[in-house]
Formats: sequence, C-alpha cells, structure tokens
Amino acid sequence: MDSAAPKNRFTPKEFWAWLAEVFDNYGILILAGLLLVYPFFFSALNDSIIWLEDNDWEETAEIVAEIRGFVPSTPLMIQILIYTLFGIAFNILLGNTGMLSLGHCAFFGVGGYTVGIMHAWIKPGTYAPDWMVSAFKVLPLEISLITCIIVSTFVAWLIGTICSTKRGVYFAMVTLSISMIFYYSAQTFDDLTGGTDGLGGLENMRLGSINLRVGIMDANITYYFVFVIAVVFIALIWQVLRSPFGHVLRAVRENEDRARICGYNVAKVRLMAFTMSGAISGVAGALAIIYGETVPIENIHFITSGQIVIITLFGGAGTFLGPAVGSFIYWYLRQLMSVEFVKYLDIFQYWEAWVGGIFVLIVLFVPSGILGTIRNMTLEYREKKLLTKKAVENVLAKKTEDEAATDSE
Amino acid sequence: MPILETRNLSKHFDALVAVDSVDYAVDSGELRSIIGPNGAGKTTFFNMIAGDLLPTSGQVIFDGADVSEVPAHERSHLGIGRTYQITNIFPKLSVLENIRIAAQSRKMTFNLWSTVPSHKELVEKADEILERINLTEKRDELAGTLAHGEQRYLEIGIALATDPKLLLLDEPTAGMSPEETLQTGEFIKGLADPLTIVLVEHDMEVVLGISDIITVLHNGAFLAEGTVEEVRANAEVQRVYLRE
Repeated sequence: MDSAAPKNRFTPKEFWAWLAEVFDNYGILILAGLLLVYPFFFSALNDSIIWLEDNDWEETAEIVAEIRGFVPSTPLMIQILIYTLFGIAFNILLGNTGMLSLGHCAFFGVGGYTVGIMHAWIKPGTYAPDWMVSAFKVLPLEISLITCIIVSTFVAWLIGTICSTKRGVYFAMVTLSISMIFYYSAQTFDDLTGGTDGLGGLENMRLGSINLRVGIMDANITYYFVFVIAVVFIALIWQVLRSPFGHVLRAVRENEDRARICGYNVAKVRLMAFTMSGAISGVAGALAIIYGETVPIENIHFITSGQIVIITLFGGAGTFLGPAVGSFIYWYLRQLMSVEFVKYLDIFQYWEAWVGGIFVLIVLFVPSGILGTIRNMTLEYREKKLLTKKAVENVLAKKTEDEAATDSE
Repeated sequence: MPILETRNLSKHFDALVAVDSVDYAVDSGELRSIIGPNGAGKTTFFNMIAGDLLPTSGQVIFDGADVSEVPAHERSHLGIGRTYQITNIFPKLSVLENIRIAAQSRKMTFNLWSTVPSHKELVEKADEILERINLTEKRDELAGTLAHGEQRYLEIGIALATDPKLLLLDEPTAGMSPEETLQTGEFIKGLADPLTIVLVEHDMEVVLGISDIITVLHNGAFLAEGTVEEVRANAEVQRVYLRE
C-alpha cells in the first residue's frame, strides 16, 4: 500500500510523540546521565566566570554571573536529590498503596539523628563507652549508615504495626500524632539531640573504606556520595514496584476489600509497604544531615512531612519520577524566590506564601501533578493515534475487499 | 460429606437479628440458591461464610474444618471465592490485571525480586479465564470502563482465578437485562460441578431455572428448602412472597 506509507517522518506531532516514547523508555537513564555530569557543568560555569574576569571581559563575566544565579547550584542539587529519594520512598505509600502518611518526618528525623548522634558522641570525652571510642578512632560512615537503616527499619515497623490498620484520615492523623511524639522527644532529650539548637559537632564524617571525607566542605564529593546512595535506593524501589508485590500494592490501593477476598493479607501488605517507605526515608534523612553536617530539629518537625507531601503532589503521586520533578520545582522555586527574585521585589522574601499559592493552583487545576498530567496527555495522544490507525486499517481492508469483489465479478 | 455447613449461625447488629440460627449444608458439586425478600439476611449470611463478617454465634464449617474465626483472606486460600451484590472489582486496573492479580494470590504476595512478565503462567491463566467470560477483546481496557454486565462477569472471573472450591455469587444478575440474565444463568450452570456454587438471587426465573435446591430465608431465619416444585408449592413461601 503506497498511500499508507508515511510521507514525512518528522511532523511536529510525531516528533513530540517520539520524544515522549524515548522519555518513557529511557527517561530514567537520561535523567541519571544528566545528574551524573551536573557538578562538572556547574564547575565549568564557575570556572568560565573566573576565566572571563582574568581575561578582562568584566562585562561578559557579570552577565554570566547573573545567569548563574538562575542555574541550580551543586549544593541545591544535593538537596534536590535527597528529597527525590525521600519523595519516591514516601510515594510507595501515597501513590502506590494509597496511604497518606503525615508522619514521615519521624523517619527522616530518626535516620538523621541516628547518624548524627553516632558521629557526635562516639568520640573521646563524651557519653560513649571507652570500648566504642577505642574501636573507632574516627567512626566510618558505613557503620553509621548501616545502623541508620536498621534503626529506621525498626522504627518504621513499630509505627507501622500501630497505625497501618487505620484507614484514610485516621491513618493520617495517627501518623501525624506519632511523629509529634518523636519531635517532642528530640526536643526534650536535648543532651543527646541538641534540642532546638540542632545537633552539631559532626565535622569529621568519612567513608572508612576509601578514606573519603564527605560533608559541606566539598560539594562535588558530597554530591556524588548522595547520588550513588540515592540511585541505589531508587533502583531498589523501582524494582519493588514492578515486582508482583508492587502489583499487590496497587490492587490494595484500588480496592482493599477485593484484594482481601482475593486472598491477600492486606494488613501485612500495608505494614510491609509502610516499613519499606519509612526505612528508606530514614536513609534520606541521614543523607540530609551528612550534607549539612548538623541535625536541625526541623528535620523531625511536621513541616518536613508537609514538605514531602507537597513535593510528591507537585510532581504527581501517580508517577514514579513525580517526586523527582516535584523536588526540583520546590527547591528551585524556593531558591529563585528567596535569592534572585527578592532582589527585584521585596515581596518574594515570603517565598513560602508563593510556593503555597502555586501548590493550591496545582491541586485545583492539575490534580495529577505535573508529570502525571504530561503522562495522561501522552497516553491520550497515543490512544487517539491507535484509534485512527485502526479506523484507517478498517477502511483499507474494506476497500481491498470491495476491489476483490469487483475483480471476481 | 458436605463441603459447607453452618450450625446455628447467627449475626446480631445490636438489637437487630440479621441472621437467626441458620443450619445449612451444601454438598460438593451442587448448585444451590438462597432466596428471600429484602432484608432476609441473605447477604449477611454470605458475609459470614466468606469472612467479611464474624458471626455472633454459631459455626461455619468448610471442608471439614471450623472456619468461623478465620480471617477472610485465609478463607480465600482455603477455597472460598465470592462476588458482591454491588460490583466489586479493581476499576482502575486493566481487565487482564484484575484477573492476573487474583491468580497471583495463589502463588505469591511478598515476591519483591522478580518481575510480573516473568510469571507467564499467571498471564496465561488470566487469558484462559478471560476466554471463558468472553472478555478477551477487552483485556487491555480499564475495568471501570466496561459495561455493567461485563463488569459482573469480570467479577466472577476474578473469583474463578483464585481456584475456589466453593463459589458464592451474590445476585450475579443484578442490573442485567432479561436476555443477559438468561445467558448468565446458563453460564453459571456451566460452572457448577466440580465447582460448588451457592447463589443469592432476587430473580426467580434464573433461580428456578438452574438451581438443584433452593433455600428460602425470611427475617434472618430458615423458612423452607427443597426443589423448585417443592418451594413453589410451599404455602409459607407463597405467603411471604405474596405479601412483599
């Protein structure tokens, strides 16, 4: 059929469809690739400014510096990566199991405090017993991270057994109140946690195996450290969500009673999802304090739970990479408003209000989030294309039939 | 030996007695019906057999074991499958996935390290069931977009995918047109033996047409039981149904 052959492969619509297809299949890899080279890109930008200044191109240097203000810095990208991991872990519950937890700050905080407390207090002349201090001259991060995973898994399991039998708004309220218990405990035991001042004294955090100092001093090294851990755990979540267990989660989200009558132990499934989500949120919390070299009490405050809900809904709870998009938008907007926009308009110093306003708009007008909406649009387009194709095929088939009929006559 | 037996089974909601000391027994391979006017306790009776509700008193004995206190998901594994009066499917999952996820429950729940496509046998089983319930063409559509009658069939398919020994159908023809109802009756008859089927029905035609034995409940209590002719001739039954 010559008439059915495509005449022009690159009509704009086809190009977008092709792009969507590529992003669907290789989106994660492309994103990971871009993130992998990001620090080089940002360093190059910095270097170019210095180079321009050295070569008496002052004006151009100023323009590039101005542009740099609108490019997310490596430290900001670290923050975005951490909250991407946190958001994707949180989304095991919200997007996949249909459980809205308002208590994820507890895990984020517990993960952070576990690592923070170990590094702050396993030192000579503090609370730590002598054998511990002599065992680790400098506590390696590997040990504290593994401890952090164990502790946050246990805490998540414990909280999960209490509240994963609750539904909907009750579940949200119970997780919220339990997380407040953790917050007030952190505040009360300030000898250990530093209380409202935050926990400091974490300046020597090293990966023991390769003797690499990680922390606020070197953004590039910390970036790659966070990147590797985030990628490992995101890959882990990705596998779990595509496994048979992941499909059970979606079944429970869609219709809990049906899932139960199908023979699934719904309570156990929910507990498992909750524990996994909490444990990985704890890892994200640990990464956050490793980069900041301090544990601010805000990490365990409800405001962190609110942040992660916003981030996840921004990007789209129904999509895997939604929290990544949400995290980027949230932190980037925040940075832009509080650092750049504020130079022109004072009103941008109240960035929370602006981000809140945008959040309201998103919830009202694109309730499936940014990535969710894009995905729905692509699906719709594909459906249409498929229907058109079918219709064309039908017409052609009929034509051939008619022709055959006339021929035989 | 009966596959399902209830002894003195009762359910009280506070002062309301929904099911009142019902003794009931079904033999393996039978196709039985339970009828009764609205509020007769038919659905509550079903809920206690399937485990959605726990009885106030009395026993449910399935396959020789007392399952009165066994949770619903475990009863599913013992071999009790059910459908609901109000269609109960996974509306936002594909038709295939609806059946596949039900079939998967027989093999695995906490399988985290494999992928779904690698378990071909589950998809094959689902396709086979789709063939039986005549939904092969719609396999990739969202279950929620199916027509009402198709959704009723899909729900039966979901129940079949869990390999039940006993299938409880709660008003399978609810909301169907007269033709669909007749077809469904034939379909259900085709499922029986070796499968044991108990259905609750409002539609007397279907019930009378396909059931071996009919049980009548009234106000939560046992009223009559027998073949179609016996029940029809029963004066008590006539009184209850005529009054309605």
